[in-house]
Amino acid sequence: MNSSFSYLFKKGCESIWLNKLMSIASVAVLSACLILVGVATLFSANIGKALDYVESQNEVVVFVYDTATDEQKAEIENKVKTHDNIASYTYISKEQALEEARAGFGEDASLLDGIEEGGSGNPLPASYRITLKDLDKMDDTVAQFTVTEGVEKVNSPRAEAEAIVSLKNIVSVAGVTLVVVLVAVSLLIIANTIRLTVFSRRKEINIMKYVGATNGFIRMPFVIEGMLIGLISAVIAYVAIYFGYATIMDGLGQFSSPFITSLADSFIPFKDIWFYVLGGFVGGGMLTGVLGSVVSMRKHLKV
Amino acid sequence: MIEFKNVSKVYPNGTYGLKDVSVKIEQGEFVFVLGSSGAGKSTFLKLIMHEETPTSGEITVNDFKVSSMKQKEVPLLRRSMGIVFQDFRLIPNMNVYDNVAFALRVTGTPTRELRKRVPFVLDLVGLVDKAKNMPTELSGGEQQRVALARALVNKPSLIIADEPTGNIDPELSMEIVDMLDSINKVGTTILMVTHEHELIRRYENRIITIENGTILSDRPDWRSV
Repeated sequence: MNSSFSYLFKKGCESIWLNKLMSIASVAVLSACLILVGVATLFSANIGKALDYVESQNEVVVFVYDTATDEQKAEIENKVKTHDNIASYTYISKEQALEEARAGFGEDASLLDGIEEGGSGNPLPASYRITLKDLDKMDDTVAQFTVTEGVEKVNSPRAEAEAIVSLKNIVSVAGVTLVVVLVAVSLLIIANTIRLTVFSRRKEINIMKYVGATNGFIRMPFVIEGMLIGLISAVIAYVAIYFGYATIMDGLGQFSSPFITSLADSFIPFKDIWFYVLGGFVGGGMLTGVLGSVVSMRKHLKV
Repeated sequence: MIEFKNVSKVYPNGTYGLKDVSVKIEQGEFVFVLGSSGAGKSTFLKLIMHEETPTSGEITVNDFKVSSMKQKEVPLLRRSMGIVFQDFRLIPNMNVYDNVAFALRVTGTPTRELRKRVPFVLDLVGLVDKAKNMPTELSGGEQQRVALARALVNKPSLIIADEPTGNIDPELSMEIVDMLDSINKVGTTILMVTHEHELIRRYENRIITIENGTILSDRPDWRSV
């Protein structure tokens, strides 16, 4: 019945306006909760990405025997090129290794001059410097290369890798827990706020039942009210996150440390996620508003 | 049309509201229900309105099997009757017009239909010029007339009045009962609970007296013994 729905919708809107103080309180609480949920989620996501970035800086080095045959060298190169856990690699030849050593010695580079002429020549091995995709599989990858013929040894930043993997796990678990707790708290607070509204109108609801209104008819304006409060809170939370995110990104960009700037670069750009943030807020806000209304009305509809 | 067949109501704490009551009220009657407080008259009304359900027995109201109804049918029952309470029970933050209109809105009546019927019943009770007033701005008698208009607007076949003159000055009480009488003359069944004996004496109506949960007497008028 269209006339009924537009009447009830109007009543829901009127109710928000007439009970301004209550509505403002509800919107304030729900906005705060949504913002916290947004911050927690975005924070976890960004920490995850930052850790990914740090992870990608860790290199595994595969050293090749000088005495390896051409076949073995080709085999090693092939393995490096085609391995599915290798994100990128750099080949450092013996000569390049020596150059790097010279650069490392700085002023004392002349000490290395004698190497090529006397003795057994350049002792430094050729190597592949590898960055892995998945640090969890590092041990497997290292083992695979260690047993490959022609490989002298494999260096891996085992300790750092383990630390990063556990840190990522902790952040995921903490992030999810925090979000779940915040969502539960939001629901409770909203349900309670609406329960107060419903309670203050229980006489009215009672009269409506005597006049023959169905539960759905009585509930609808409160549900509309809950939905609108959810919607308004969602918009406020979105605007807050939008400006907050931009401010933080700018703030990080001010730091002179290249580590922090490249960290900031790895932050998820807002334009990639604005839709999810807005959608999440609107969906979550309206759902909380509706659920809060329905749950808090149940007792008063039993006449 | 109301029919009670061997109806009993026992409350959880063990007290009897009604004990094996059987009575029939035909369409078009105007019946007074008397009895002291706690005698069972409110239980009687509550059972008719489905505010309570009987512990045993059958109740039929307007072709509704009230004693065995499903919860979702209750609104339909309530719409088939107009109820007038002692404390008026108008919705406080709606004006007179909206209060009366509300009874039509719950049935999904379209707005243009509403615009005809509400002024019509307000005119019947003589309150057209107070349509925009809030209930708090009206006297007790006026509020009760609004409640009556609301009870009438759905054209019910039965009107239940629970001590309708309880909160009204004696002079105005007669007006209310006169109105109920006119409504009855058009064919609506009226069931009025009261303890005001002077009012009763002005009419030749059936009187059912309830005492201790049973029907003490059921007389065709106040003179019969």
